[in-house]
Amino acid sequence: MKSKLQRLTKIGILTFGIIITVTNCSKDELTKDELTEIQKIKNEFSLAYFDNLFVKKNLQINWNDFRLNNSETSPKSTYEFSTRLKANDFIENGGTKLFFKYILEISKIRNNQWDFEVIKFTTEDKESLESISSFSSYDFSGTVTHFNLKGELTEIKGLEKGMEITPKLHNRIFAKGGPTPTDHDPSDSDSGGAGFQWIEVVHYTDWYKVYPDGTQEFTHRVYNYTTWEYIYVPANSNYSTNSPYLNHESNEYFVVDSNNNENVDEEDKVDDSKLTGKAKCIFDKLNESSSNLFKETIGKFIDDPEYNLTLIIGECSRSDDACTDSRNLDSTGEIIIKIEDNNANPLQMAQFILHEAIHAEIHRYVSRFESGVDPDNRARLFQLYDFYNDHFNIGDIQHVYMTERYINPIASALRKLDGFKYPLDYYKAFAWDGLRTWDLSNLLDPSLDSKYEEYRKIVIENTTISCD
Amino acid sequence: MRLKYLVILIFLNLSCNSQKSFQEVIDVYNVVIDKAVKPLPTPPPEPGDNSSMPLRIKDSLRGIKLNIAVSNRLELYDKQSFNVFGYEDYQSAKDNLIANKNRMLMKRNWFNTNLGHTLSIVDLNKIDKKQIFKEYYRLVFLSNIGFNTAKDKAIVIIGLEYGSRLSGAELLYFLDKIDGKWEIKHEKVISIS
Repeated sequence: MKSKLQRLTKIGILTFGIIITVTNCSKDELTKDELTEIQKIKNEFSLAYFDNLFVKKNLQINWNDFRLNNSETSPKSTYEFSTRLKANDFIENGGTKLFFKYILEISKIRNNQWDFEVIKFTTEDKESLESISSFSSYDFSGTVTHFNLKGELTEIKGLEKGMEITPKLHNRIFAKGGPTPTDHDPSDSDSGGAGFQWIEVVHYTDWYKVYPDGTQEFTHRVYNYTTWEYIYVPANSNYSTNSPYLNHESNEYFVVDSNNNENVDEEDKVDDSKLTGKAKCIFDKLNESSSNLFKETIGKFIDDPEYNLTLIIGECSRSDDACTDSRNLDSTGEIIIKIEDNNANPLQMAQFILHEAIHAEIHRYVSRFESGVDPDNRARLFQLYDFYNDHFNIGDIQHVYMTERYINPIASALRKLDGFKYPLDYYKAFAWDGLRTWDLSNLLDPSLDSKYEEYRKIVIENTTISCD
Repeated sequence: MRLKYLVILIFLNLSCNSQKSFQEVIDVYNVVIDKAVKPLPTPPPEPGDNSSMPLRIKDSLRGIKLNIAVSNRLELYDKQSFNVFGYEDYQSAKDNLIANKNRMLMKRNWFNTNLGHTLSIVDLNKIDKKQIFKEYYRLVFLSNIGFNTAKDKAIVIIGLEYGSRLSGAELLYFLDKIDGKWEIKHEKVISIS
């Protein structure tokens, strides 16, 4: 009897074990399936062609945070992923503050084919966004906008307490830019005065200086770009549309020592600490003289958090003077100016630094432009890039551009450094160094060049810049 | 007797492989030299649209033949000097380039590029650079070529000098072999003076 009981207990434990194992196995299997499916989705998903810079630049998907709607009543399974933003999640205009949140909805059309939708919820009620889902937006009041992966508006709804107020705009593929103005007249009687408004959103970055004691001081605001969008405006609301809505990002740079007035970013955006001797001395003098060219080249790296400029004494592979190393610009944002000849005369040294600083800044500018952030206009530079595209490398094109745009600025910066001793032409021989080969528009007449060379000798002999 | 034939066959095979491998190297060098060394056409008028260079200008540029000096010393790169991030597809080619410590350029019967530029292999220990810049349009420095194991991807670095101050550049090329022909997939400016 006892042994029978023991056997039964053993069988019971074994059966229990098998059940647990089988249950766990099937659960693991499901998770693996989901993981495989999510991996496939991740491989297909991209915002590279999304026609909205804010989304393209700031939207990140939480691939581990999703809901799966796989109900029997629905013909297709749908994933809904939460997202996060690298920027502020609200826009404001006077007294109106609108919060927004994106979710990524992905429906399986058929095996390995997915339909992607980026859905934006915009509302005055921030709390209602916390657990928002397109599966259950029952109490939501605000705008629900659907986009495909090109950023094209595919659907827009105005909701009040989950009720759709503007049915006439529902479920329509709009042309780029959204519905036409006649589609969203706020005085539309069908929607009781509610409607859609086309608003401009201007995106800025506010920069703060952070002192060693932790106090912050607002220093300047940098315009990034402008986007446009539709928002649902409830009846009798006072949403402003006369001026743009603003979206701010904040960024900081750190003051290492507030007494010596030397502002260096935490990550040393401009690192000249490895310069020595004459190069260091001239760099400091250029910094002190604060010429426009110095500010517009080296200075641009102080304002730009994504690019680092390092100046070193080092060997250039193909020059005995100086060079700009941009090999890792795309991956790390790092540009290195190398000064090889640390015994050049002071004005020549200054010219080396300025010439390479121009290269570095153009590299930075073009990289910024390609990432779609800086809308500043250098039409001629891009005209030359397009014209010489498959002919010259980008460094050569920069040289052609420099002959047209930088001779006077270089000469002017050198003249300022030299205490305005001589007229501008006296410094032009230096300015043309490294650019004569690239004077493809014949701006430098040979007889003029000879005259400039005479001036060069005079300037070198009489300069009082001392770095010995 | 059989052994003799076998030795001859092995010799022929080795010789053939060596010839093929040398031709592969020259093919890659020709492609990158033709890309890196260009005549200097006048820029487009300003203001103007952002159009590419007209075909007729391209055609006329193709007619220009240049005299190019190529250093007989190959530039060597180690992990530190070749610190370029990214381009994972070319990793084995990168490793191959770094591992190759060959210093001398083989110069058997290599006189012209595909575009017809004339090449002269020069020894910088015997001829002064100033003299070179008087006689030649550009002085070219080549690295070894890094091939991947399938020999359908390659990387090579080309350096250019053209005299006077601040006149040099170092360019990295990533190439793919497509339908038996080497094509440049990416061009990266490593440094510019």
